[in-house]
Amino acid sequence: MLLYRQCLLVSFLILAQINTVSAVTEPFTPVTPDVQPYYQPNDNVEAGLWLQLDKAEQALKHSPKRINDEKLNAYVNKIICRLAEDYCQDIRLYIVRAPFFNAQMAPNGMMIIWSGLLLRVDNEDQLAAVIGHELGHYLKRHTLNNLIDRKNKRNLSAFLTIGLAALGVAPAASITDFILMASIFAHTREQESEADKYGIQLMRKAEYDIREAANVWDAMIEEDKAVKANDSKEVGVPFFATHPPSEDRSKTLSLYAEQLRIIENPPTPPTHKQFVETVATFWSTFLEDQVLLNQPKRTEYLLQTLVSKEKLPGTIHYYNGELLRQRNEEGDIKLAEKEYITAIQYSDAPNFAYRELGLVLLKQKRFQEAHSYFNNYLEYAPDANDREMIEYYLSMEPN
Amino acid sequence: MKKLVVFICIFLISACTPYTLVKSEKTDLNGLSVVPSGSWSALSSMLSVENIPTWTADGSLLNSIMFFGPISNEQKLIKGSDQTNYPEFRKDMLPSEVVEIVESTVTQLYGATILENGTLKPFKINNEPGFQFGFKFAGQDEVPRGLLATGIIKNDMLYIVLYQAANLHFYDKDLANVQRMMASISII
Repeated sequence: MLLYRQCLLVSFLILAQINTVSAVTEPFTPVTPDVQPYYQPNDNVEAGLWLQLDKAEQALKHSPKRINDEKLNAYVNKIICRLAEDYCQDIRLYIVRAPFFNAQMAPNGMMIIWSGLLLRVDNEDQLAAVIGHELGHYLKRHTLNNLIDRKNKRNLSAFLTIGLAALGVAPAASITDFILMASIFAHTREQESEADKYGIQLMRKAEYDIREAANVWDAMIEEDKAVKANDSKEVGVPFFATHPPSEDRSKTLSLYAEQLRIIENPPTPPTHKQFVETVATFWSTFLEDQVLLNQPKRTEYLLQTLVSKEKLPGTIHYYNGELLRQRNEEGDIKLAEKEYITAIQYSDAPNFAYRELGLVLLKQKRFQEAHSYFNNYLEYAPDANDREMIEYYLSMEPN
Repeated sequence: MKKLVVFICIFLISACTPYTLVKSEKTDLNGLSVVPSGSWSALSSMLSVENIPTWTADGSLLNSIMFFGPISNEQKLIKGSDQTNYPEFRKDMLPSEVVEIVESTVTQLYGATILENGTLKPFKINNEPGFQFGFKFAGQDEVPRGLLATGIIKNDMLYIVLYQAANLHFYDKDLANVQRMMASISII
């Protein structure tokens, strides 16, 4: 079974059923929570659901795909608590290596942030917009209400016995199961609209730049357009499976932002510095995961967006080189060579840049130059786990 | 007539057998020849991915060996469908690049994340220059697994054998046998 094919299938199935959200014209009205701080389930059905989700969370806690880095987790947790201070103790964050734009929040307080989201958002305010939206679903009990609705249509005892399976949802024992559980995170258009509104309200209270909420949607729509414009069969955005994209939606968020800006003082500009410094540390890992998806159009688009962040130029040029070398269309090998050469001018270039430069030169039968860069690589990475192979390349000579 | 019916039934049942014991003698698979070491069962075409010859010692979720070859220029290890992006082998690839296509294939086939890269080194196959590499990954089931690959590019074709097993107990359990098998590989 293929995770990404399933993502796509689920996306299509859900998108086929959900209408897009129309742009609003009415004034912004505040949203109130349906969940109080320190909330606990208060009936059998909800407790049964929590039990199922707790099991899934246990698996998630120990998943090898979980990113446990303290600094990154503390940073994202800080955003959660800034947005929903009173609920800070109720929400448990899990950042996972999954190279797609997505975030999910379960009714028991488990929040999952995918690494692909961190690679795509431009600043802390955009990340806060996505988190705020998910908090909106949680505070309005959307997922819970949907599940209870579905339960009402089925047998209660079956639900309590076999849990989510009784609702037609496979029990989640892993992160990737949550992707397959997309249907439980799918919401009606009214719920989406409400979560958008709640998210922007939380952002305003926390003094984030509320205009960035619309920018997140615009960026995602742009990415998908750019990839699809190239007649690509590359997999779409899983987030869209549960959060239908629409330009109307973005317009609605912009209208809200405009209305709220009139009510209150203009917000402070987006927070770049700490965001980039904290998240950029992981760009290499995130890009490595992205490259392995073999989606050159999407990877190229993402790299272009990262360039604008003006951080880690050596890393970005290195992955540009990787993209070109692997794509291997006419002239790409020369372009890849240029990218690697540019990369090694910067201190943040990974040592692998020297190795890859050696590889592209070796393929062009420029042995002497290749050897020089291979030697650089071994000098900078004396314990490289491919040392024996590099030494073999060094023994290669013109026929 | 009864005998014929019984014979047909036995034939049909045996045809549906998901596993067949691999004989401990030199075996030809996809242009490769290998001498089995240890006790292995071959998966039926019903269980294997795209009919790729696959063996297992304890069940394919716990350990397996897949035999790929000959993969020609612009051919993929796994064909997949219109919705998949499995990478292609190119005849000018160096071993370092074969690692990438195997990692990408595993990532997509199992919805996996590569957890750790292992060594990449030259490895003689029938006295010809091949290569061996390994890495650790976790698929959809979140179980950490080890993978060991041995391959060679010969006459512009890729031949490669992939052993993978759950890190916990299973990977090490059969590793010596797998290494012996990999050392026995020759290209037909």
